[in-house]
Amino acid sequence: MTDDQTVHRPEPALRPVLTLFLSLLLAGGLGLMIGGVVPVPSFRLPSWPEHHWGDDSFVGFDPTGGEWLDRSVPTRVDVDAVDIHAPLTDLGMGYKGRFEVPPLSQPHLAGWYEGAASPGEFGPTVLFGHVDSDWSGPAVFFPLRDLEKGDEIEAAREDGIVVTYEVTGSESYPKDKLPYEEIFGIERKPGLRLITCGGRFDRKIGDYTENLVVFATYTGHRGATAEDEDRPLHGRKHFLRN
Amino acid sequence: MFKAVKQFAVALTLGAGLVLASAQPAGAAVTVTMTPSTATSGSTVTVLAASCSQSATAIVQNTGTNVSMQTNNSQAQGTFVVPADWKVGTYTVAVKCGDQTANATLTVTDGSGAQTGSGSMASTGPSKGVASAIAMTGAAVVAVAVIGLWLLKRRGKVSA
Repeated sequence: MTDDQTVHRPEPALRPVLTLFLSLLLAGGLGLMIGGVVPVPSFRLPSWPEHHWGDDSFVGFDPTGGEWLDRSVPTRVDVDAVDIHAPLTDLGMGYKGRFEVPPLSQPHLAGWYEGAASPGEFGPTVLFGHVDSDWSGPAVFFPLRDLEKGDEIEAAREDGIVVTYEVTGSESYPKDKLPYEEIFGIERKPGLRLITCGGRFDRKIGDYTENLVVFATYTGHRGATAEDEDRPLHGRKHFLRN
Repeated sequence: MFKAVKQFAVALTLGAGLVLASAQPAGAAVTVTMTPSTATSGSTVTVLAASCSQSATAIVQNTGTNVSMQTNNSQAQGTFVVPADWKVGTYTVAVKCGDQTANATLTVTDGSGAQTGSGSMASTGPSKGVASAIAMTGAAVVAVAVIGLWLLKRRGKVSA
């Protein structure tokens, strides 16, 4: 090797280092290219909600053991913390065994699933509501994502009783892997689940990939007061303002 | 007249009391609860019968499914798994406890989630523009790396 050579060459000792660096750069670049094109699936740690029990012992889960209410159709749900004041419609089974949901043209309307308990009755009460609609943008259950542990939920019934609940947690599940026992199973106290859509919107199938489930547990009930009766209800116009 | 009505009412009350007392020493009617009360194929369903201290059987009507239940602390309990060949819809589950029968309803769904949105507010990860910008950056990095490696290899040969 002579000094008159004009080509600048890396030191032989440096070459493996440079090679390694450039190889890493190559791999990183390829990663960026793939990552930019392929959607990354959402990552979630497995979790066991607090009300899960390990074995199949239901001793103490007694529908006759508490001061639970008889069945009465719920008419509205209120969550002051996130400004939900929604009328309720009755929902049953929909097309081919799917859950019936309120019409998308009524984005202010949530629904009570008749296949489970009514508020205050032993067992879980399940309410469905849309997260968004083409008419409204955000719909009745859009604010569910902002609910926090300890927030109060109130469900008013046809018989004039208002049942109160406390949020215990929320979880988003892939739609084909809904945990039926967590949602439709019994607990020691009457429960409440508010369900809407979550996850990614899959444009190919025209549906969200996940359901967001808010879990709440019974804290008490009261006769509807004048204040309850006068509470505003967010009608269709409230959502069509956008 | 009034006395007669009163006597009749007393007789009725006594009669009802006797019927209740003879039917169930515990004095409470059997109550059937299912958990979960809505299920899909593959779900394990537990049938509970409260105020039942005798041997009990749960029958899922029109399916041929009979579940023998175990009794503990005047509560009978049994489980079954929803088979894949059950059609979606509602099923009546009857529990026979001694000479009493009580029902509850099980709903079987197709296992899909609730379609609670139209996608108008959907966030579908990085938008198309951002995603392609990331991909282009990646391509540029790859190009730089390939050129670098090629130069390294070529000049290495010259020196050898």
